[in-house]
Amino acid sequence: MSNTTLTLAESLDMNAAAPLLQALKDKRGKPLSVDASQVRRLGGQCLQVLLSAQATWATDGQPFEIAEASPEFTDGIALMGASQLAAQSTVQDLTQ
Amino acid sequence: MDPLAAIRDTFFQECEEQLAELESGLLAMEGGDQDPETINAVFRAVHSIKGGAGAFQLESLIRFAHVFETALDEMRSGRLAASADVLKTMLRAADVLADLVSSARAGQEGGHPQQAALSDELKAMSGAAGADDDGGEEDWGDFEFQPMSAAVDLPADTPPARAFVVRFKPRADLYAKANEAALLLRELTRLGDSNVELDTSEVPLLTDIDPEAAYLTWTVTVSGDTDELAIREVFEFVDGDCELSVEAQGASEGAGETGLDIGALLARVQADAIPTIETAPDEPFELEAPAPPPVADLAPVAPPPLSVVSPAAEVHPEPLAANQARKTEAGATIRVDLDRVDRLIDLVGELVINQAVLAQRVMEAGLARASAVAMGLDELEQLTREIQDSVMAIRAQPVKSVFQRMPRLVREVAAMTGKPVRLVTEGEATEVDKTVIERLADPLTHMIRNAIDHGLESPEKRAAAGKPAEGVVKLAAMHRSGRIVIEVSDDGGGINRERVKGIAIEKGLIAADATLSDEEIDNLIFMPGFSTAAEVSDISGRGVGMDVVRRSIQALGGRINITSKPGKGSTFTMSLPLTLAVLDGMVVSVEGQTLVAPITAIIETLQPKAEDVHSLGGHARVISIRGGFVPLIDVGMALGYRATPLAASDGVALLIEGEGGARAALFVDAIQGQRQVVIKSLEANYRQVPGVAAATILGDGRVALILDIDTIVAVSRGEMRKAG
Repeated sequence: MSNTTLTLAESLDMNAAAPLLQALKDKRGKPLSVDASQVRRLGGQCLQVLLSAQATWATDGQPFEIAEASPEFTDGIALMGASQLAAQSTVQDLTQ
Repeated sequence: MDPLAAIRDTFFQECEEQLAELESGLLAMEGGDQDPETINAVFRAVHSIKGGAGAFQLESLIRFAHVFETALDEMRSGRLAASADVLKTMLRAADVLADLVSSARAGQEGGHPQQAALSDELKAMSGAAGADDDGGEEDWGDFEFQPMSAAVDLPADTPPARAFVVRFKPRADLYAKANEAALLLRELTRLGDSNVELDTSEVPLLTDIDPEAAYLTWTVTVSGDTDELAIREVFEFVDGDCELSVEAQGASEGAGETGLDIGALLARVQADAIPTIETAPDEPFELEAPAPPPVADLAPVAPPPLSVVSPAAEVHPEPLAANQARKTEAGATIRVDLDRVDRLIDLVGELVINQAVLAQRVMEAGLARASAVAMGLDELEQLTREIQDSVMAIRAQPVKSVFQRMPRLVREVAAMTGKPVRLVTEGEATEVDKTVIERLADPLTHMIRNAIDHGLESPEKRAAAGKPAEGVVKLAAMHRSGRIVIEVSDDGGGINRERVKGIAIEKGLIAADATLSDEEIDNLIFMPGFSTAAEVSDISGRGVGMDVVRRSIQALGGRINITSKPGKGSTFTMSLPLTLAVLDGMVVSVEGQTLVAPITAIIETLQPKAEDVHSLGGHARVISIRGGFVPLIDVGMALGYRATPLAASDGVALLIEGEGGARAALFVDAIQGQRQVVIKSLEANYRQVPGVAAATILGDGRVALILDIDTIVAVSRGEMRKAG
């Protein structure tokens, strides 16, 4: 697979949103696998960026998956009602 | 630097203030204060801590503060009676909250051993509050907002569970102010069963997204035992930084129509008065809770419901703008970095010195006393003194900041020793320099521990002596002749002089056949190595004896004394300088040098007669004073100004009392006078010099050293031993 992987930082608070955006922009155009296994904290602004990325990849017609997720990340997504981010990853996980 | 760190610091500073407010409010209530504003202040304190903790994700702090706040809210609304037991639990909760704050400050977010148990107690209190009928014993009848719920005959059964739909759209400012939507959502979902829906329709693609903007909107349905007030409180601190709407869904059917839903009615009245939902106070919803029976009895005297709307609004969290306005009114204070104040005090010290130098120069120039220059200089002197006083007043703080730590200590020590204790404080408003206050806490803590542990008798003994079971420890502060005097007294058994003397003899501190006055025996407890406790107890005996207390008081330029009456109790009296920036000194000369001895250490001055001074071999000498001998220390030799001692009849002796109560006589050439001097640190400007505590600058511009009497005595004693 030519999937590129992006490992998310431990703390995805408001300070992390800009670097995260930049990192995602750099990976654009290729299938992306996001590793969220290190995430301990997920904030609203980083969630926005991730959702935007998911939509962007979809527009580009490229696969985008959350390959691995820490319990905190999964919990954060559930808390903020952003299950669409996780749902896709579950499907991807199952197909692997 | 991380701007968050600065905000965090401010938060913790504010926490300290809130905790102080919390404790003093609870204590006032325990003492019978029934002012509704007191409990409101208490509630606000906990609420603000919770809010701030939310911003910094201090989970265990938030959780505990929330439970605590809920219980306080019950009390505030009159559903939970402020009985003595309830207040005791609240005070313990305040202690735990304080501990959680300090561990959060230290970066340890581990919770507290008592947190769970106390949370349960608080929850039990809040839960049982509705059914709790023993409220009758406390007279809360004139509680301002109670009649509101009594005004309407509400059924006393529990309101049906209802759901609220909360629409929450953060603005970018919310994030910019270090708030986090995720945390708000977490807090919101804690209120009951929740369903979170996220609207991502505004999120742009990566090319257009601004990472610091806000695009998401949440719709959360919360159901269960909650109310709109609780929901709005979650968002209280992000008031202007988000769009928020809270709507009740499937509200208790029929209630509105039958006119029993006074909450909705009041909300409507409010909504009429204030156009937007966002700013309308939502408190009236709280009124839907059932009125407890004793309260309902008050119905006849209750004012009509509508007239109480505005007082209700007053006592609840207000919209931001109103809140700020009130704050501005309440205290026109500013927070200033202590460094800046210190620098100002330093500069004023320089000014005082400079003024003295100028005055001396004018004198030397031979200008007449009545000359315009001299008169102008007099005025300058007065102004300078006033400036100095005012500047010192900036750093002066009421001793309250130390005193208010003591109730908690008393509670803890009382619990440990099993002795019921009441702490009485007096003169909390007495002001003293901050630098002194900071160093007052440790000795006071120790003395209070000591008073409870050793001073007070056991309840049985007290009963036998015909005293009330509850012991009283009194902490009082007052100004007396330019110093602050702090007294710690207990109504215990007083000092057991025979036992004290016995121990002192046993430990070789005094000779077995020594004849001592009562006062001298009492003061034996300050001797190093003296400890009356047969076993080292957990409370007083932490390797710190009263000698350490005495030493720390002396290090502050203070003195400590004890008076004791058998069967009646003991009183420790400390007298301290009001500031560490200036000092009352005895200006003396030694070999042409000008030195300053702190007045506090000097007991008396005398002109020795040659026959009173005896040589002990080498240069060591003792002087006979009223039948006793004390070492005579030649200051000139101790500091190396001269090699041979001054003849006994050529100088003046200052009888001083140093560390551990040891007396000695400092021998100097002459006394110039008594003066207040500005203290300049020698360590900061040069380096530490044994025998010299600090320096000052005199009117003639010369530096004069301030003697460190304890070191001089200690060094001379060592030399004397060598010589002997």
